[in-house]
Amino acid sequence: MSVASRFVVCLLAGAGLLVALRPAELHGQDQTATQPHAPAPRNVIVLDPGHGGTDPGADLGNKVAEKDVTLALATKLRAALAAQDFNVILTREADATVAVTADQRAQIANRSRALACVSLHATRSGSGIHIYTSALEPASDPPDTGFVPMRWDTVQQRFVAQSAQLAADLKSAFAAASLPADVRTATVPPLDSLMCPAVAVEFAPIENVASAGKGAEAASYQDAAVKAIAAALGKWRADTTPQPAAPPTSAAPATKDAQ
Amino acid sequence: MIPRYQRVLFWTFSLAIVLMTAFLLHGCRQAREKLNRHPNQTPLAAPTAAPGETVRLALADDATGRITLSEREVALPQEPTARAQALLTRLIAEYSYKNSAHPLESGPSIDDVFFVDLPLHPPAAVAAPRAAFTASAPSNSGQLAVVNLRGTFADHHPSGIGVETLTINSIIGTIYANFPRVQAVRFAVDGQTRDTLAGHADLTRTYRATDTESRSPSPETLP
Repeated sequence: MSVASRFVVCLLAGAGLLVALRPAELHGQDQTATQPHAPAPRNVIVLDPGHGGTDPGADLGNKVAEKDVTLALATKLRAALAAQDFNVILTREADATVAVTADQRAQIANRSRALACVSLHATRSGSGIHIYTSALEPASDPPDTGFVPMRWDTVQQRFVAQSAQLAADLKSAFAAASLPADVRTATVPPLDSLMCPAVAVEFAPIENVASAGKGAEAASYQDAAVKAIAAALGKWRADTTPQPAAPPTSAAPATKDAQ
Repeated sequence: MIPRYQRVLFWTFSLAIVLMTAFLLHGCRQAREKLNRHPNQTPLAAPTAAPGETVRLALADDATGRITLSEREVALPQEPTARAQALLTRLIAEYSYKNSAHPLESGPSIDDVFFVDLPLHPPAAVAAPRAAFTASAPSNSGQLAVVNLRGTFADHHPSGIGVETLTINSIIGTIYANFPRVQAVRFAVDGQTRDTLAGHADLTRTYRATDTESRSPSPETLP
């Protein structure tokens, strides 16, 4: 065997050894440990700033368009979620000249297999914060055999219950931040096409809350809302992450009666 | 120095202006007196021979986000489509009143309402559906109501998920309360399909005609 051949063989062997040892070194885990490790939590959150481009959305007054407010909210929320180690995906990053369609938004969200999808909207009708979930009826469990196709605009049926729980968490977080909020149902694109726990949050003016401005364009209102949503999504991740299985014990714990 | 003929012309025109003003004011006064002497008794709308009847309107409230049924005494034509059009026009007119709980701009709102017998396709022409599709399919009887909104109404409707959804639910609830054969409701704007009412509420769906008083109606999945 020539020197060059031996060098190549040694190189390949070294590379293989490095690949085999690298996961344990990186994570500092002992592969022989008997303790089961917790599965990595899902971290992807999809934020959908409503409207954009040629679609300005609602006129919020004072020449403020809904599309600008939703983008500002999404940008702030992305920073708040990134601080919690979330991986945040926005369906639009800027106010492009061409509007992103509802189907395109749903495609972006569905490809990410997100932990939660939050669509952001603002209006000057009504008051308070309204959290909307899909108006679809919850789907029954899929049959054991065969592939059951679903319509593109009804895939949210599988996530209705989870979406309702997410909406409840958001409502609690808004209440904790002294922001009046309620949960409703609506048929709003792209909510019904999202394959993730999904809600649409609409910010209407708030009259009598000291910590928030009147309209959704007010920075104090946005900051309070962003803080509440980030807290709710943090709780949502903690609640939905599977807990590690308890280690097997050699003996059953003693009970009071046994003593 | 102003020439004499220009001065004469100036004063002639001034006099003419004064005379014409006096003549116009006199004419206006005469016309007003004539109107007062002979008031116009011509009805603005064609009289209806239909007796007044009690109908139920599903009225929306922006503050609570709820729909409540309320009875009204109105005269309606007997022909079903004209009846539905008049009823929904009356419903939307309620929202243009002062202090409305769901304020909308006044103006023409409902262009037409059509009733189509269900099912839309003959049963033989429909492929055997899978279980997921049959779960919410309508039965083979009943009607589909197609509500054709005016473009001006949709264009001037307030934009927002809540306010648009309440308008849709209000229309569906009113149809449900007064037309028991209707099982599903679709919307069009100026005879064309439109994605949303004013940017939010989906108008491409077929909504199931249900009691919207306490909950949102579910979109239907028609083939």
